[in-house]
Amino acid sequence: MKNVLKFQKSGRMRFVGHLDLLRAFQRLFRKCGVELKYSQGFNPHPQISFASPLPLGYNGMEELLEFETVDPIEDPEGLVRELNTVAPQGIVATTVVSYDVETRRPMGELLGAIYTIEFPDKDADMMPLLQDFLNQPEIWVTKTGKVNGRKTLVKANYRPLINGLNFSFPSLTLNVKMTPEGSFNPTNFLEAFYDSIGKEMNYDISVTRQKLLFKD
Amino acid sequence: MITSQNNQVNIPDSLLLSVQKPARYIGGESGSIYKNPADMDVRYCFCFPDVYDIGMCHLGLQVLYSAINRFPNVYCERCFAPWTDMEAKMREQNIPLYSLETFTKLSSFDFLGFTLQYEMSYTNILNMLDLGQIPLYAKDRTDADPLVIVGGPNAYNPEPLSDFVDLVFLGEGEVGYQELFEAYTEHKKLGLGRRDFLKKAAQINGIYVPSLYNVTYEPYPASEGLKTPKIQSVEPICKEAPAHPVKIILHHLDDFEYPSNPLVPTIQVIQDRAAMEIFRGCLHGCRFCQAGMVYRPVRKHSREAILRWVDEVLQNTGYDELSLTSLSSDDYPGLFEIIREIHQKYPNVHISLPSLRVDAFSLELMNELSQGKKSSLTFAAEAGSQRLRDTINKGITEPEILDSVELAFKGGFDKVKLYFMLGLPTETYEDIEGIATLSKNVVYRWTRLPKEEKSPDVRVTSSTSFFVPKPFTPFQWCAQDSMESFEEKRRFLTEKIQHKKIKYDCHNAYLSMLEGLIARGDRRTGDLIYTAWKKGCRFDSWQDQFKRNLWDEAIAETGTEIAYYCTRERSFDEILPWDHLNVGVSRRFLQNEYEKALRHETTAPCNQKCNQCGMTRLAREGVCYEKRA
Repeated sequence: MKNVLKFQKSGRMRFVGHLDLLRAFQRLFRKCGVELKYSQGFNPHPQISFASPLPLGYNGMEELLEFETVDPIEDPEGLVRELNTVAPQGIVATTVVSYDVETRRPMGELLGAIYTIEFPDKDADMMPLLQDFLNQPEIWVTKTGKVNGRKTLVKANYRPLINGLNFSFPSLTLNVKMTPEGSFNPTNFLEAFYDSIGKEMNYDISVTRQKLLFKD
Repeated sequence: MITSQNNQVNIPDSLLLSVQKPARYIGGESGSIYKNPADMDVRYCFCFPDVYDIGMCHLGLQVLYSAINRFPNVYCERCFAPWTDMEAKMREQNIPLYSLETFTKLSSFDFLGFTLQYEMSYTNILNMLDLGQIPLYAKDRTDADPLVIVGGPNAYNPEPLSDFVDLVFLGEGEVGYQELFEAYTEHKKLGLGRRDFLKKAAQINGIYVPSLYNVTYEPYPASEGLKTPKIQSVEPICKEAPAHPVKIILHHLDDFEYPSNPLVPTIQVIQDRAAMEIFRGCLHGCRFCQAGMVYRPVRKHSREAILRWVDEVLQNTGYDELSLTSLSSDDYPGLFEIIREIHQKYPNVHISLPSLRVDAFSLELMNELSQGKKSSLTFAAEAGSQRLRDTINKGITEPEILDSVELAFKGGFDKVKLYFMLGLPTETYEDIEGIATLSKNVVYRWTRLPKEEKSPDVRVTSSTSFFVPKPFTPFQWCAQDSMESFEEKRRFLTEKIQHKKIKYDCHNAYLSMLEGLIARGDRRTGDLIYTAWKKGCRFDSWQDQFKRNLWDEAIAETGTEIAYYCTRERSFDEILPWDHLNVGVSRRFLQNEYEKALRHETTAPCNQKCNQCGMTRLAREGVCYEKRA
């Protein structure tokens, strides 16, 4: 049975990377008596993965975990309750939805996401500069990319990746694209902004992924 | 002992996002215990002097965390050494070291309990105290500072740290703390000072207070060519301090319910599994092994206790790997049946049995283990010749080793690890060559098996460490081999062991020398540790962090003589720095064992014959009292 768990990640759990979180979920499923299906072959591993891993440090309000079970889940609401009794602080399960095993991509194709960025009060005076930055026809950021197979710093134009935005201090909400050709990363965006005004990046800015957007 | 409200730290996100593995520093793991500090009489912080990833695999942490938290009025939290990147940021931003459960500053605790697991962690202890903004020297601490208590295997020679610690816990933490906490709670109510409490504590079974003893030195050097004098006397300075503090023992293991709801780290650590100690101590009395001497007598958990723990821990943690640990796994009678039962009930759970001793290895057990993952098998042959094995009382012969590996190969195992030591007493180059011969013979046993009866390839890893004489072992009087000799022997063996199927690993000779120095160090060694720390030594057991040049400087500056501490043979009438402590095993026995070693005579295991080691004076249960085969 293919299933998708919708969950929230916040608080201390922001600092746990997605691979560690995946292992944590495996343990949580075992605690709840849910048997994960393992792949065939020489090195069997459980069929469990994130629709889109959340970068370290972000809150996630509607994160998605795809997992395949040996048996169908009889009581998805019961499972959600059970998961929440055993989950660590900072992880909250919201729903479990099951799909036919034949369904290749339960969620559909990933298109993008909605992020909110909360600026601290002390940055209020920077906001007109942010508005200017956002108004540019091209928004250049630096990110790590691969050139000739090697990791290096590359420049990317984020303008075409922004579908829409809403800016009202202290919140900036962005509806952005996430595609194989290019994905909007809020940290890269913020780093570029602070760089453009000659200030050091403020890593205490809260970034929340509100939801992932799929084609359907 | 500060109970102000400003005793918590705030770690900004920006700090956590700028270091490796920030989850090391945030707590919140499954299994964490949360209590209301306001309801507590005693706040204890268990401090592991290494990074989170290492410390969270330590069984003792799980046991003590559980044991101490069982007192309703005591709250035990945890702290680990921050990695170098985090330390730099903490110092930069003046953030003091704190506990993971409540983010309370270390300086606010009543007790800081450090576990002494290995000598090269001592600079981390000083570093953690410094990061906690606590005076390093015990004599500089006031009533407002926590009491620093140390325990664990190296606490049987705590002398090198005696300047820095207030209390030493000798023995088994499952049972020692009640009296200590009661005395402390009363002392706090009465408003008595630190000095008074230490005198009170010294009278508690299992507690040793170094500051209440005076050590004097002879007025002349130990021998010609040396500058360092030997110890002349170790005497208590007040009536409250006993002449010979005695270790405390948990007589019946099952009396302590082994923790089945352990802390489960959220990030990947060195070993991601739940572990239970199935029995404590070891029957064999190998003469180099400190654990085999200080963990006597051998006591077991019952089959029922083990099976109950397995059920509970799998339910509570969701782990799919378990470890049933002991010093010599196959000496637990009925182990196969227990493993079989566990496998039947939980076919997807992998069981790991560390410390499998070579001679009792059987095909049955191996078959059970090989269900599921097949890892490598380890055999600690320790020496390359029977003569030398008899000297160290490692009662195993080459035919037994080879027959066991052959069984392993037939069972589909293709990786074998062999552990040896170089520098054992009475060792000759012939013995060392025996290591190469034995390693090759292991390969030949595989080679001569028909193709269909074995794995397609074989990999043998032979690993040598350098012998470090340890306190409370028959070899505690030995001269440790010199670094030059270690290097020569390593070069010699590297040449002899050359074979395409054999990989040869060797430990660092300088580190072994340092370990030897500190292991048998005395109160004067504290200066060396302090100086090394001051110069910037941390995480000395990490290859990429170890700074040999700084240790060289520290040794030179403090005038610490390697020729005194490491390469000198002690005489039987010499006062050793740990002689005043009573761990049960008598000096007479250790001396007798050393003399037998020099005659290459073996000693039978405890379950075959009582060798009068002296343990029966302290022990009330265990192998000493069981019927012998």
